[in-house]
Amino acid sequence: MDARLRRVNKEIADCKNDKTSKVSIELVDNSPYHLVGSFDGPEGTPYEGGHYEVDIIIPESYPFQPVKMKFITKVYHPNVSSQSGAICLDILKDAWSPVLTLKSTLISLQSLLCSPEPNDPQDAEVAKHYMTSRSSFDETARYWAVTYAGAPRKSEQGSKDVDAEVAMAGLEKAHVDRFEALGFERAKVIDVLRRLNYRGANVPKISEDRIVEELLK
Amino acid sequence: MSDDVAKFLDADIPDPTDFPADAPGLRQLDEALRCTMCRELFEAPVTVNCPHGHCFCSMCIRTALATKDECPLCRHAIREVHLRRNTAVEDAVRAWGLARTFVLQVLREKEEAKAATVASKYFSGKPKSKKRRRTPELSSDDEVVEVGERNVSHSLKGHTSSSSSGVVPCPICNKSVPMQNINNHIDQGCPSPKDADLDVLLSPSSKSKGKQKQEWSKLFQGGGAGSATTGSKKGKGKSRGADQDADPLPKIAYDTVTQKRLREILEELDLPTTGDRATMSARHSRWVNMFNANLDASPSQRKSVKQLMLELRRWEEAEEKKKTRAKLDAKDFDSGQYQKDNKTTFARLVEAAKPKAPKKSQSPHEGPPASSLSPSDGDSIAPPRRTEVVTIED
Repeated sequence: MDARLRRVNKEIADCKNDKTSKVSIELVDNSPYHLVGSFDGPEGTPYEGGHYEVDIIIPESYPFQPVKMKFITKVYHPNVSSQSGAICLDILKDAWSPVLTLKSTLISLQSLLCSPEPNDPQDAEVAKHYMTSRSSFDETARYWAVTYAGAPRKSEQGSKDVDAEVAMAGLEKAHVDRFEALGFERAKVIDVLRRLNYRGANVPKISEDRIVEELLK
Repeated sequence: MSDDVAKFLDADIPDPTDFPADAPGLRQLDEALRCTMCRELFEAPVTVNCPHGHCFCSMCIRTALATKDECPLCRHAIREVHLRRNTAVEDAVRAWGLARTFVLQVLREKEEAKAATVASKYFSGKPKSKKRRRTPELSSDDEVVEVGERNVSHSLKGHTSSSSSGVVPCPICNKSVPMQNINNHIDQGCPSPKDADLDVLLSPSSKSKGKQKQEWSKLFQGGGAGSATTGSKKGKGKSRGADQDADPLPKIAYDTVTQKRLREILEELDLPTTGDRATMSARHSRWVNMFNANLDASPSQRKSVKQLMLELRRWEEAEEKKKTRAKLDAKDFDSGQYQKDNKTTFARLVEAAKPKAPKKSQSPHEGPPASSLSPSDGDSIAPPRRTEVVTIED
C-alpha cells in the first residue's frame, strides 16, 4: 500500500474512532480516493439541525495538494455556491498544508457555516443578501436547511402560509405578488427581484420602474 | 464494496489508537514520534528553520518544499538548505519501534488474563486454558510483524505476498531482505542485506548501459558498500556510496537543460533514461529528494543505493498506473475513440476468444473496416467483420 493510501486509511479510521467530533466519512464507488464526508449543521446558526454531506476527492499528489471538496447538500451561504456546491475556503486552495487532515478540514467547513465571509464570496447574490438583510438571510438559510438538509421545521414557520419559491429565493411574498399583479410571470419576477437583491434597505432604493425595466428584458 | 476496498479498510495500520486512551502517555508518545505529514514514525527526521523548530521526515519535507517554501505546521518561511538532521529523535523512534511491540504485547496479555478470569466463572475445564495459552503467542507473532511498519518502503511491503523474489522487512532489524534469504538473515544475526541480493530485483528491467554497469558492479563489490567502482566517469563515484558522508545531489532547473543533457544526467546516476522530458524530470527530481533524504538518516539507518533504486522504480510504476487510471476516469474519455485507437489489439483479443471461423465464409469486401467496432455496441465489443479478420491474417 503506498504512502498516500496509508494516510487516507488512517484518516478514515481516525474519523471513525473519534466519537467526539461528530464528523463521518464514507467511501463512494470502489475507490478509496472518492469519499463523502458529513457533519451536522452547527448549533446557534440557521443551519442547526441540518445534516450536510460533502463530496471529497483525494488528488494524486495528496497530501501535497489540497483535497477537493464540494457540498452535495444544497446550502444557502455566501461562501458556498447555491447552484454547484463549490466552496470558497482558503485551506482548500492556497492556505492548504500537508499536515491538514480530512477531519480537520471538515471541521473547518463546519465552522465556516458558523462564520460566513461575505467579503470573499463564492455566491455573489447570497453574499449581497447577507450584507443587505441579515434577518432575511437567516430565514432563507433556515428554509434551505429545512428543505434540503432535513432540519426540523420550527412550529412558527409551519403556521405561516409560506410560498416555497418565495422563501427559497429569500424574498417577501408581498413584493412578489405586487409585480405579478402587473401581469408578469411569477418565476420571472422572483428571478429579477432576487438578482437585484430587493430586500431590506434596498427596497426603498430600487424604484419600481427599474424593476419593470428588468422584467421587460 | 469490492474486495480490494474492504481489504484496504481492514488493513491493520499501526497508529496511536492501538494504545488504550487511559494508558498514561502511551498515545501521546506514539503521536509525538510520528511525522505530521505522513503519520508514520519518523524516518530520517530533520528539523526546519522555523522559529518553532518543527520536525518532519526528510523525504516528506523535501517533497513539500517542492510545492511551497513554508513550514507545513506554522507556515513560516523555511529553506531546504537549513534542514538539519535530528539524531536524537531518530534514536528515540528506533527504540520506540521495539518498545511499542513489547508494550502492546504486555497490554494484550493483561487483557486476556482479565478476560480469562471472567470467562472461567462461566466455563471450566482444561481445553479452554490450553486455548488461552496459545493465543498470547499467536498475537505476539502478529505484533512482531507489525514492527516492520516503516521498513524500507511501503511499496516494498506489497511484494511480500508475491513471488519469492520479493523483499520483506526483517521484523527484528527493520531492514529489507529478499524473502528467500530472510531465514538466513535472522540466523546470522541480521547483517546488512547484500546489494547483490537486490540486484536480482533491479537488473531485469535495467536499460543496456545501466545494466552493463550493474553487471560489472556485481563482480567487483563485496556487498553493502554501494557502487563505488561503477561510479560515472565524471568522478561521481564517491557520492554514490550511502555509507560514507557523501555529498548530497544538486537540484537542477529542468527548464534550462536540454533533453539530451537530461538524459546524460540520468545516465551518470545509473538511472533509466526512458520516457519523455516530463517523466525524466520527475524521475530525477524524485531521485534527488530520495538520495538526499537518505543522507539525513544516521549511517546505520541508511538504505543502500540499490534499495533506493528499487524504491524509485516502484514509485514510477505507481505513477504510471495513476496516469492511465486518470486517463480512463477522465470525464472526456471517448470510448469510441479509444476503441478505434486500439482497434488491432481489440480485434486480436476477440479473434483469440472466438471459436475458429470456417475459411470459405470469409469474403474480402464487406464494408468499411473502421466501423467494425462502433461505439453503439456499448460496453460489449462486437466481433469484428470479416474484413477485419482478413486484414490481420494478412
